[in-house]
This record gives sequence, structure tokens and C-alpha cells, in this order.
Amino acid sequence: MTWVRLFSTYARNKRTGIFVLALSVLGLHVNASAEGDKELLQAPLPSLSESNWQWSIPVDFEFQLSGAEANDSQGKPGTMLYPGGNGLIFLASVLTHALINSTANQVKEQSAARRANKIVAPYRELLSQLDLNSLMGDLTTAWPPLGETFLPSGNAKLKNDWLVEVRPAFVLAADARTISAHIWIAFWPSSGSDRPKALRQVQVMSTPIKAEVPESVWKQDEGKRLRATLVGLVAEGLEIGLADAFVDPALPQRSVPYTDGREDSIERGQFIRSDCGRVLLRNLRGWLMSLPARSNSSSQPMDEHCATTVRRLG
Amino acid sequence: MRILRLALALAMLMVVAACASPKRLPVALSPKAVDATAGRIGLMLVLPEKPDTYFPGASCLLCLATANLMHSSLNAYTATLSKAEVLEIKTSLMDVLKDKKLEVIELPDASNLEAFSNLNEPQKSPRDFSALKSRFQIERLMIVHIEQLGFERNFKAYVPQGLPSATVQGQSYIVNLSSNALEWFLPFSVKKVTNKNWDEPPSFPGLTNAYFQAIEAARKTIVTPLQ
Repeated sequence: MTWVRLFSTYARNKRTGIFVLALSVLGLHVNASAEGDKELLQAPLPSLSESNWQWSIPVDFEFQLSGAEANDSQGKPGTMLYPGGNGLIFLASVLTHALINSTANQVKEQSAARRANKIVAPYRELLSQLDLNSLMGDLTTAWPPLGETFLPSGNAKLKNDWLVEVRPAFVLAADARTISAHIWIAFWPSSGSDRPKALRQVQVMSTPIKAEVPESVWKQDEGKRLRATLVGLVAEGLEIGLADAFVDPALPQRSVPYTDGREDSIERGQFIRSDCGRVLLRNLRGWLMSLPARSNSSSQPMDEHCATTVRRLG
Repeated sequence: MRILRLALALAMLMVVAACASPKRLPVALSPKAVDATAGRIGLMLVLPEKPDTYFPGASCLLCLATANLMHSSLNAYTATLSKAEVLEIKTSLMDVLKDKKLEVIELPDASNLEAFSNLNEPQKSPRDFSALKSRFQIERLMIVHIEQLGFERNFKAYVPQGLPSATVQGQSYIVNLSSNALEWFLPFSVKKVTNKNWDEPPSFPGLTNAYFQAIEAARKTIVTPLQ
């Protein structure tokens, strides 16, 4: 390791060694992923029968559909001349440079957020008419088996052993061809607990729209397609989360091909199955993902289950 | 002191030699290089021994040491990443060339091209591969040379610029072994950025996914012109 040798050479000078270490500590980031959540994502699900659970959306949880942020914040390499003088002046100038850079990065992030907002701008009026309560109302009528177990937020008390708490958030792709639902599912015992028994995170991407102008498809019939897709994504994600497809921990990871309508890509994880023109996998973070398969990935005939999936996801 | 002077002189010589190397521009694929009459073609993959991290802009020794120390977990993890998917690039190329009725000879993979002498002519192959013609009974040689594989984060001296990205960088080319002429030259540089919460040791799931996405994108970049 060349850098270890380099550091050792520099570290012979104590002040320089301390300086390098100080810079390194400044560069360390807090690991955002909570270990507790990871444990709950792998915890076994409680055994749910037809009548011992209900699902609900938290009262204060709001509908959100955002644009996909473009992750292009790579910056550019370059050189920097720091003023000479003593070590403290040098350290101060490096810290000032880091501070200016951090501000520049914030500006870049704001700019990416503005671009993301632009993606959903054409749908503002349509989105203002949507809220989770009315969407879940649609879900209970469109998909009755799930509807029967729905507990409207704050309207009734849990009568069963388990409350399945669902938090969906939606992301519209930059080219507007797909919407992805990110669904957090928490399994709470009715006996009361400060911690859910298990967590599942599911991501479902809708079938890509092939039309030249996807906006017109989402908006047609006063947004009927948009509304139906949002509801379908939650129904599909909830079923995937509740089914909790078994994944052998020893199953090797592989690159699973899929398409987002614009280009073919891969997602790394444990492949579970491919059917109904979709692939299901557990990704590297432990989330279950249902993605549109590339056109030649599935050759199975369409049964009733597949017909339901296709209707749900467009 | 003499050794130090010698080392400095050698370093200067290497810098001057690097500046003198001709910059090769892309060369469009010559149809005769891949038609059914092209004769036997050798296929060689050149790639680093293991994936690595790169910090462009951390140009002083202390900057580089700082950058490496800041990314010590990522450095250790990167070296453990699989290269099996990179080898699939060769499989895809063999399939495409065989579809074109070419007889493809798979040559052993290499980690560098030091065994072949440099050719400093922009329209010719970077190295003299003519000896392979008689050794493997081939008319042409296709090389996929991956020079950079792993993760890259730009720096300005001690300060990181933006997010790390997965990187696959290199060139793919076809050489006519009778003349060392280039019949295709495609430089490629694929980068895939993950989200801003990239620092997830020990297994860096976001960056790992980007790494495999970059390999897949590089595979498509290389194979598509031949289809």
C-alpha cells in the first residue's frame, strides 16, 4: 500500500502527522445507515393469517411525489495554492478551502433539487388534488382483498394482533416514463411496543411508458392513469412486502438486468424470480425490488396473477 | 545523494516521455476488420490485477496520503470486489464476432502490455503486437484494455470535490498485425455516481451497485459498435 508508506514517511514529522490525521478526521462522514434498521429488515415476519392483521397509513404521513434527482455532483479535479508561513496559517487556509467547497456543494445540491422540482412541475395542478386518504380509498375498491384489511387512519381502533404500518413515497423518473414507489412497511404488535417487530422496504417501478410524450399519458382523463398507477404501485409493493419472498442467505449476488424505458441497466442483488415481464430481487441494502424486465427476459404465458400485475403497473 | 539525483533524473525522463506520447484519436471501425474475410482474430483482455481507488487532483504526496486516509475503508473494500463481470465483456465480444462468422482465438488475459514495445505513431497501435501473428496464426488482434477499474473521487489538493463515482476507463481497439495499423480505436470512460449518502462501510452497497452498473455500461459501449 503506497499511501501507508507515504503516510509513515510524513508521520515522522510529528506536526505534519497530526495535520494529516486532523484532515482525515474532518473528512470522515457519519454512517447514516442505522444498524437497528438493518437488523429489523432481516427479522422474520410475524405469522399473518387472514384475520389477525390490518394495515394502515400513519395519520401525519403526507402524499409525496418528487422528481428523480440527477446525481452528477462529481466536481472537477484541480490544484490549489495555499499561502506559506507557519503550519497554522496553512491549516487555516486548507480549512477555509474546505468550507468554501462545502458551500459550493450545497449550491450544487440546491440546483439538483431545482432540476428535480422541474420534473414534477407540469403535474402540480394534478398532484394538488391527490392525497393518500383518497388514493387508499381507490386501493380498497380496486383491489378488494387488500381493501378488506385496510384500517383508515385515526378512524378506528385496531382489532387484530398486528398492525402493518405503510409509508409510501413516489419518485417520477427524469424522462417521466416511470414512477417508482418506495414503501416502508413496519409490523407492530397490538400489545404495544416502542419498536416494530420487523421492517421491510420495497421498491416497485412502474412499466415504462412508450409514448413519445409521457406527460400526455399521465394527464389523460384528468390524471386517471397517474392515479391508477400510484394505487397499483402501493398494492403491488404491499403484496411483495407481505409475501416476504424467501431468499437463501447463501444465494450469490448477481447483476440483474432491467429496463427503465430509456436504457437497459442492472441492479446488483440476490435474484428471486422473473415473471409477468418483471424481475424481483433483494438488493444490496436488503430492500425488495420489483423492476421491469428487459423485453427478452421473460417468455412465460400470462396467467391471472400476471394479468393483475400488468393492470396495476401500467 | 547520487541515488536521489538519479531518481529525479529518471522521474523527469518519464514525465518528458509521457508528454511525447502521441494522443490517439478515435478511429471508426473499418468494415473489413470484422467481415467474414477478415481471417482469424485474436481477442485479449488487459485489466488491472484488482479494482482500486483513484483520486485525481490530489497531486501532492501529502494530498494523496490524506485522500487515502480519508477513504481507508473504501480502499480496503474496493480491492475485494469481483472482476468476474468484467470477464463477461470478453464473452460478449466473442459471441458478436462469432455471429459475424469470424474465427476468434481467445488469448490469455494480461494485467499490462509491458511485454510489447511502444509504437509512437498516432495512426498505429500503441504497442507492437506483430509477434502475435505467427505465434497464434492470427491476422488481427482485438484488445480491450481497461486502465482504471474501481472508484474515483476528484480532489483539489486536500479537499474532495463532489461525490465518488464508480469508474471503468480504457480503450478498445483492433490492430492489423501485418502493419500494426489501427482498424478501430475506441477510448471509453464510464462513470456512475451514487447518492450523497455513499459512505456506508463495510459493504458500501450504493457504490457497489454503481460499480457493477459501470461495468455493464462499459460492456455495452464496447460491444455496440461491433453489432
